[in-house]
Amino acid sequence: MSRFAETLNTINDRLDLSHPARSRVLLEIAADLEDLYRHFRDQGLSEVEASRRAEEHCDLSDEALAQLVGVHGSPYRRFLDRLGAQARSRWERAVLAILLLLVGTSTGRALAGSDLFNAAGPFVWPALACTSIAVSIGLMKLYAVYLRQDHRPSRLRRGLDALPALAAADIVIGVYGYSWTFYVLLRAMAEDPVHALPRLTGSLLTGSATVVVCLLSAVLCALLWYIVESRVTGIEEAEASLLLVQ
Amino acid sequence: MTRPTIETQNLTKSCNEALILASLARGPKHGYQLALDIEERSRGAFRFNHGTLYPILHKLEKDGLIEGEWSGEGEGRRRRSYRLSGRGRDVESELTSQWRGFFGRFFEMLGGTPP
Repeated sequence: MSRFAETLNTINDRLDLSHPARSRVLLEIAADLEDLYRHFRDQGLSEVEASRRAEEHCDLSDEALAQLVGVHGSPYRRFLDRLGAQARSRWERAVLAILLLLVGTSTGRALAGSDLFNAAGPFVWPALACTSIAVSIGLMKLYAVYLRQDHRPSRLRRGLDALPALAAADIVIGVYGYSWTFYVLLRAMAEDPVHALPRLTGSLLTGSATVVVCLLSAVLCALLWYIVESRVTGIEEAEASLLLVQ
Repeated sequence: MTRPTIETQNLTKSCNEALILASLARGPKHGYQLALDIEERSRGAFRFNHGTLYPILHKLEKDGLIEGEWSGEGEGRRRRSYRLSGRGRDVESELTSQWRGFFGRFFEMLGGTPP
């Protein structure tokens, strides 16, 4: 572990850059800190004083950080930076809202028009509500990672655990919906055995369609979680390896 | 990238770039060596905080005037070494002559001669 891990962590927190530019800056600073430390030690300074002087030399001012962001930022990022902070936030919210609206509308239309969805029972609605929340969270994270290039793991991790929980909720709702459909069917069959066969066919169709829609929703949530989680883990690993340099 | 010119509102930036390019013209260096070289050769007149060095180095590299290379991959600690590119060499000569001209005129304005 580097003797400058704490300093590097502080710089890392202040550095609003995406990888690999972020890794590159931190690696360079880590190497320079160590070289400067050795240089000051060779001059006869104590370990504490050499560390202090090295950290002082490598301190990144807010202006230097802004310049680095300017050099390495994507054209989209530079465009956002040119807007004021307030305007930028409004702009980002508007883009996100339009994106969510488009995805929501197209998904809704596709589902509403499909036979599978029409055949499914009322339990698909809570499942779809869970999926909508998961898709919103997933899209916001993907937007943060790939477009806004905000690679601060603490921010990316926030709310990410909800995705597998929502996928699990979809599965539970599907199983519960299927069981409930059969419970209602069996009760009806017990009360009126003469019309049992047509009811059995209808219930089988409803129950199966409910399970299929719920499972598909769960798969979508899990897939989103996997994509975002892999990227966030990659970013964390890159940062961890940087801070463990030396 | 257009050829560098010295503008009064941009003096610090241009001066920093000229110093870095001039130092690299004498051989490849790591970030810390670069700062020490400039400080030592200028006898302390120009002191670079490393924090201000990175944005300039990264900008020069992006503009193709210098080339960075990682070294020491197998030793656990990686360092980035910088060297002048072919275009950087041309720009460095250009900047040097521009700074000479600039200071010539500057001392003319002050009514003296360059030291």
